[in-house]
Amino acid sequence: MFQKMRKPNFERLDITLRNGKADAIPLIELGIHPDIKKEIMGKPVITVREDIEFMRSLCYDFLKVQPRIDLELNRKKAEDESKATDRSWSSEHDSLVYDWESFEAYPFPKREDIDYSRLEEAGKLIPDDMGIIGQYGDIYTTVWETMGFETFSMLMYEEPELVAEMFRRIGDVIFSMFESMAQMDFVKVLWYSDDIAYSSGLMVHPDFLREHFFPWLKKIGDLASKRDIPFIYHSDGVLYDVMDDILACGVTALHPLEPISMDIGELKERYGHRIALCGGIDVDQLARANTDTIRELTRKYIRIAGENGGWAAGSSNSITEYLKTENYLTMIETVLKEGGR
Amino acid sequence: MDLLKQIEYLVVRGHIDATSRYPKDLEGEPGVQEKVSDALNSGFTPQDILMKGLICGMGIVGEKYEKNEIFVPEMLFSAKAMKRGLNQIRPMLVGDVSVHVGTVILGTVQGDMHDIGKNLVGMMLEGAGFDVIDLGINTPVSKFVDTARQYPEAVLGMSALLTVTMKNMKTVIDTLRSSGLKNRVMIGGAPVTQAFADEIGAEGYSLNANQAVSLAKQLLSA
Repeated sequence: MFQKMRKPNFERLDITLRNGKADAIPLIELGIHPDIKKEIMGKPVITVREDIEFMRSLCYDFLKVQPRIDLELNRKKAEDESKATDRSWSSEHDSLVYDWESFEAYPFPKREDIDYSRLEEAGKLIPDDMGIIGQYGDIYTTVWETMGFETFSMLMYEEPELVAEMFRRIGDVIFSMFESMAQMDFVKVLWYSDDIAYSSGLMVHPDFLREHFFPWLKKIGDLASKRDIPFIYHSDGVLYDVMDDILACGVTALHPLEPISMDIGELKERYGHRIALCGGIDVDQLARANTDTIRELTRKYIRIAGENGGWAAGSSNSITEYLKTENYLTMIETVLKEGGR
Repeated sequence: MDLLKQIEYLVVRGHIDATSRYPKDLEGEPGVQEKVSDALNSGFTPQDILMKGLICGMGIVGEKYEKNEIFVPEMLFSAKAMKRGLNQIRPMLVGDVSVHVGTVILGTVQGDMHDIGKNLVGMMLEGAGFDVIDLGINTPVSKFVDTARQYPEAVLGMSALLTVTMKNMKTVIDTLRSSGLKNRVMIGGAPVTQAFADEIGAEGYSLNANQAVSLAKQLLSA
């Protein structure tokens, strides 16, 4: 679609994720909904080969691939009347683990349950000018989802050892994915995603995160550092209170920069010399505004965040099925046209 | 410290009763439940216990939450402590209009199963003396409208997590107005902004649970 405007070049993304200034602003997304891919390509995008073709056609320099494992055990479905979406929701009350007995009975995923076949296939198929991002996450999220947020909140204080053991069990399995991905030469970036904040602040006290969450993030950061590859961390919400912790874990790039939570100008000014920034273009605007507004918004980000490097352009979360495809394509087109140097 | 101040302090600390393990430094000490009993036995009125103990405590909790001095788990303990005390005095307050601040109907809109935020708003409103009618998650438009019809003086609060589901807030407001209902509406949730509230005709927008309390008061007095 946009191939004539720019050729993929993984080095462009690599330099940017290390907070450098590349020949042009690269594009990045954590996820692009299959319905949007289908609409753009005129056919479903299912296989690794089709996904590479899709990403190339939109001038992304990478393919993001996840290991596969079923961790979404405590989820329920909602029928969305406005658009028939089969969206799953984390349970905030139902608790699958609430005491030591239920902990012992819980069928925790195991390292051997992880399926790396899609990553291995991607390693064989990826063209030389693109790179593979190995992505997974949700140690913190899986713990609270499995316990239900209210039970998790209570047990943090009433049964702290049980909560600590949950982090150890879940953390061990998810960390093992990053250990495996770090051993794959063709994986050129590690990306860990786990929401720890709301738009009004952190979900739990920073000391709790320091005890149970950041040690895992640091271990993953150490893997990336040992390989000398970029390390992206994704969390929604306001992260200022733990930015130093995030940086101490070896994170080289932060995603997704929700504008309702953190202002891009402030982020760039306070942390732009220490960490690369990814995303930021408001999903709400991508869903509701017109293409002129999106063009102007993207220009604003290019000017504020991209001019001196250290910014990869993308949405403030992911390309959801409910945003306007024309807006998504306008954002990309604006970056390709005006984000070169 | 007098008993009402002790109740306020224990709500702020989230210490429910003598068996509660939270917070650690108060483990084994009397909690809100015991202190409310003491206050009743000492002749304090349920109205004073509510207004000068429990509600004052939750007011401080809201301020601390807004300043990021405490977080959702600590706030949940405080809300549970407050509710324990409230349940003790509630039978004595039935029919007492002097402690009725107002009624708020709350719900997460159709298609949306997210409710931590809504529940926090509910807890803070109850903590401020409001009667809260919680319609739950994935609430159909008709349920909002029927309940609003039943409580014409109530403020109606809606929550949504996603851009795609927050559109349903407008449907609720349009249906309310076309049905001739005048309930004031406040909205909140991750993607919601003041601009969106203005756009769909909601009378109020709140960024967090604490602000929702002052907003509800403001809408009731307007």
